[in-house]
Amino acid sequence: MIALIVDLKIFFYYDLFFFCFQLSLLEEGWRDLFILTAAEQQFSLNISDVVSKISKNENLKSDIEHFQDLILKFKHMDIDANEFICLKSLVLFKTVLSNCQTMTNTHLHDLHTIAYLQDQAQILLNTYINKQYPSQPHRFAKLIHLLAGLRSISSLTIEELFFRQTIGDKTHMEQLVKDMYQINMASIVANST
Amino acid sequence: MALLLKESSDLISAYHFRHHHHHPIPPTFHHSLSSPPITSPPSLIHPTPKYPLDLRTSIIEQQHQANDAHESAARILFSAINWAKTVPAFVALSNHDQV
Repeated sequence: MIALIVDLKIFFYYDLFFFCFQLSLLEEGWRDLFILTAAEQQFSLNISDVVSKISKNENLKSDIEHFQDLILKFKHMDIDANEFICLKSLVLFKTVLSNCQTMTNTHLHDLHTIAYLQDQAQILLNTYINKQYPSQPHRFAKLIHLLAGLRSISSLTIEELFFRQTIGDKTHMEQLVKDMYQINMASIVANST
Repeated sequence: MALLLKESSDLISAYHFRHHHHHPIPPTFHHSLSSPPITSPPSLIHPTPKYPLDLRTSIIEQQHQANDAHESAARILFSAINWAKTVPAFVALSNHDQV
């Protein structure tokens, strides 16, 4: 009986630990995932509506232009579904979690796993592009370059621009990301029982 | 490799292959790439989140235009997070050490 309880505790600990770890990756990568998904789903923003509300902030304005410019560039590349999967995997599996607020005591083993997954995503993207788009030898480099462009848009801008009105002043984006993730988990559990 | 194309059992076995540390690229790698694109892009067919949107649905309905952007932004974020949950390697992060 005691052994069972100990087992359960260990099980619970791992569950909690890795759950936190997944959240950390999402906390770190939500901005990039958001922009990539926006590009994938051809999200178009009626800029005048948004800008009129926050026109007082010039920084925000230039960031909006950046955002639209980036979406347009992704559109011009005509990225297919498989490429998007690779790109999103690349931004999801990050070994450096700099913006992350959730404290995780990450094992070295997990960092190796993440690094490996990131490598594999890159290799797969490269191989896929070589096979699928032989006439565009620079396509892989261009896509990677576009990914780097994601960093030029601050998470705060995205938060301010798209989510402030929805989540109010007191909620942080990270909380919203966590809640969305957990709701998802909860509904899966509810459906399976 | 299973992280990328979830439907392919080849790729999932390739993912487990990783734990043996033999080759960085599994033998099924090229084979799996030759199949046509099989994964449809994430869609908005997931159930709408109960939070935070429905708390504010009436507000969103009252104000339009800019709010469309806010609503679709929330949907996009939700579908981005949902996508992560479909990545076997991401979900496996919570499992691979439990055994």
